[in-house]
Amino acid sequence: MAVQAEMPRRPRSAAGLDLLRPGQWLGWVSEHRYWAYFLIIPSILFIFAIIIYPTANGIILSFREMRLTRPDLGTGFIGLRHYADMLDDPVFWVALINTLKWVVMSVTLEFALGLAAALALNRDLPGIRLISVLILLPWFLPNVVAGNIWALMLDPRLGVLNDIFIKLGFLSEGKAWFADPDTALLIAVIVEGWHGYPFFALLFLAALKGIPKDLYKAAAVDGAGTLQAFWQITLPGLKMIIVAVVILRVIGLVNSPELLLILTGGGPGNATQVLSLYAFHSAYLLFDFGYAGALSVVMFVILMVFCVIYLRVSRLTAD
Amino acid sequence: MEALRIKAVRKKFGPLEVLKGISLDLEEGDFLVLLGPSGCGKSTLLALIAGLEDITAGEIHIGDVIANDLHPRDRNIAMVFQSYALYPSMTVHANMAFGLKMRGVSTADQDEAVKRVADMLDIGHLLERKPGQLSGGQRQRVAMGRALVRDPMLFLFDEPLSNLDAKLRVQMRSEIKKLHNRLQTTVVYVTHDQVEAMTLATKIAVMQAGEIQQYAPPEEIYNRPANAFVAGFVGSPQMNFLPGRLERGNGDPRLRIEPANGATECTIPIGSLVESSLGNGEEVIVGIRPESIRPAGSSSTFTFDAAIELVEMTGADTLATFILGGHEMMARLPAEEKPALGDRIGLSFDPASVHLFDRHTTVRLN
Repeated sequence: MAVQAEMPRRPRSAAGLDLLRPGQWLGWVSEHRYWAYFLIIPSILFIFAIIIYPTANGIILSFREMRLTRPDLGTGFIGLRHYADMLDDPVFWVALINTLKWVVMSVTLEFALGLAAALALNRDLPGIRLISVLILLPWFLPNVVAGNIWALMLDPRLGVLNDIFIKLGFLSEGKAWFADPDTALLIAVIVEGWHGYPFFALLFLAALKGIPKDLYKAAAVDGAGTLQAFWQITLPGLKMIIVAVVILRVIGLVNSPELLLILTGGGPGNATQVLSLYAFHSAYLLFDFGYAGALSVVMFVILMVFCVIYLRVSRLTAD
Repeated sequence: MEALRIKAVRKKFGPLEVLKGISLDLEEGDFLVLLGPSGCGKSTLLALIAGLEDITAGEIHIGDVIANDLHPRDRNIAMVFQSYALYPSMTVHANMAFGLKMRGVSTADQDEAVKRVADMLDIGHLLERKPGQLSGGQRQRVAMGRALVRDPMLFLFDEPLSNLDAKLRVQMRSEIKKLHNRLQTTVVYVTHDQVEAMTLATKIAVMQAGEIQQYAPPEEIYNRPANAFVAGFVGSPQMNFLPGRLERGNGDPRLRIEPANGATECTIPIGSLVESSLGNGEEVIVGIRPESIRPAGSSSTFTFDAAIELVEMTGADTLATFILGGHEMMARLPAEEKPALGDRIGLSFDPASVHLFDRHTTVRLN
C-alpha cells in the first residue's frame, strides 16, 4: 500500500485511463461505436480540400468578374452575366455541339473496338495472355505522349502515315489532316479511339470471363447460333459493365482536353473546339477565370443531367 | 431400335488421352448411367455425345445418323447441366421456350409446350420469374423443364443433382425415376454417386481412367462386378478385400487368407464357387461385401470369431470394423446388434457370396 502511495501522479482521463499510454486509450476508443467516424476523418478532410472546396470555389467564381487582363474591372459579383454572355457566344454553341460529336463518336468507336478485342481475347489460344497485355499499351501512354506520337505520324511532311498513303496511291501529296475542318475532328476521334479502346477491352474481357461457359453450351444444344448466343447471353452478361464503362468514359472525354489540345488546339478555326478546351482557353490564354468557371459549371451540370438520365434508362432496361 | 451407339471413341486433349476407345449401345427407352470417380472421362463422353467437344477417333450414332460432325442443335438431344445453365436474363418461361423458339416453333405451340411441362414439374407459378429469384431446387426443375419441353431422341444429364442438399437430391432422384417410367425417354446420365446410379439406371457403364470397366444392368454390376475396381466402387460401405490363395487338397477347394501383422492363418471352404480350371496355389483377391457378413448362427455358413475394433451406428444398421487374419474388415450388421468395443463376437458369411478376383489382372474369377 505504501509503495502505491509514493508513485508519481500521472494524468488520467475521465474514464480513468492513463493518458500517457496511447496504447491503452486507443484500445478503449477503438471499442467505441464512433470509432468509425474517427477513421474516416482524414479522407473527409482530403476530399473537402481537393474536391469540395475547389468545386464550390469554381461555382462562386462563375458569378464573379475575374479577368487578369482587365484588373480595372475588379473582382466583384456580377450575378448571371457570364451565363447570359454564354448564350450569345457562338463559340460556346460550336463547342457544345463539338463536345457532343466528340464524345458520341469516340465512345462508339472505343466501344466497338474494345468489344471486338475483348471477344477475340476471350479464347483459349496460345499466346493470348501476352497479346492481352500488349493490347493495353495505348492506354498506358499519357494523353500528351499519345497525342504527340500521332501528331508526328500524321504530319504532312514528316509523317509516316502520309508517306504510306502516298506510296499506296491514296494521296498525291502529304495532307495536313488537322488543318482541314472536314477531317480534323474525325482524325482526332480515330486517335482517341486507338488510345481509349483498351479501357473498354479490359473491362469487357473481365466481364466476359465471368459469363459461365455452360450458358453457351446450353445455347448450342438449344439451337442458338453464334449471333443469337451473342445477343441472348453475351450482351445481357455485359450489361452492367457496359453501363459503368460508358459513363466513366463519357465523363473522362467531356472533362479532358489534353488530346485535342495537342492534336488541334481546337482548330482549325473552332472546328474541334470542345467545352473543356474552351474553358481551358478562356482561363489560361484569355485569363478570363470568371467565364471559364461558368463554362465548367455548365459542363458539370450537363454531365450530372446525363448521368441521372442514363442511369435511370439503363436501370429501366435492366429489369 | 438403338437410340445411341458409340464405337471405339477416343478423345485426346493435347497429349493426354482421356477416352481410350469407348464402345457401347443403348436401346430406346433405356436409362444409361455413366458412373465413375472424378476424372474418369464420363463428363467428356457426355460432351462428345452432345457435340460440345470434338471427337478424336471413333463414331457416335444418335438414332440412325452418324453424329460425329453434327452441330449440337442438329443432334436431336436435350441436356441438363450440373450448373443448370439457365439464361440469367430470361424468365423461366423464356428459358424453357428458348430451344423451341430457336427451332422456329410458333409462339402458341411454345406456350402450350411450356405449360404442359411446367404443370408436370409443378413450376407453373414460377414462369414469370428470373433464375436469380429461384431456389436451388426450383432451378433444377426449370433446367429439367427446359430439356423436357422439346421431344428429343436423347436426354443428357450431367450430374444434375450434385448441387442439391441431401434431402432434395433424394426427392429429385425419385421424380426423375418416375418421369422416366412415365415418358420412357432415352437418357444418358453422368454421376459419381453410386446410389443415384443403382436406383435410376437400367444400364450402368462403370468408367475408370478413360475406359469402361463394366457395362451391365445395376443388379449385375452389384452382384457380379467384372473386376476389383467395379467391386470396390459400387457398394457402400466398400467391399472388403483380402489377399488369398486357392488350395486344392483332397477335399473341397479352400481359400487360404494370407495373414498380415503376424496374425494366425485362416481358411475358407468355398465348395464349387470356382471352376476347376483354376489351379492350386492361384493368387487371388477375396472380396466380401460388408452386408454379406452376418452374426453367427446358421450352420450352412462359414463362421469365425473376431474382435471388434470400431462400432458405427447409422440408425438403420450397425457398421462393425473387425480384424480377420490381420486384415481390417467391415460388417454391416442389423441395428439391434450392438457389440461393444473390444468384444469378441461370432460372425459368419455364406462362402457362395464371396467374390474372387485375379491378384494380377483384378479380373473376376468366379
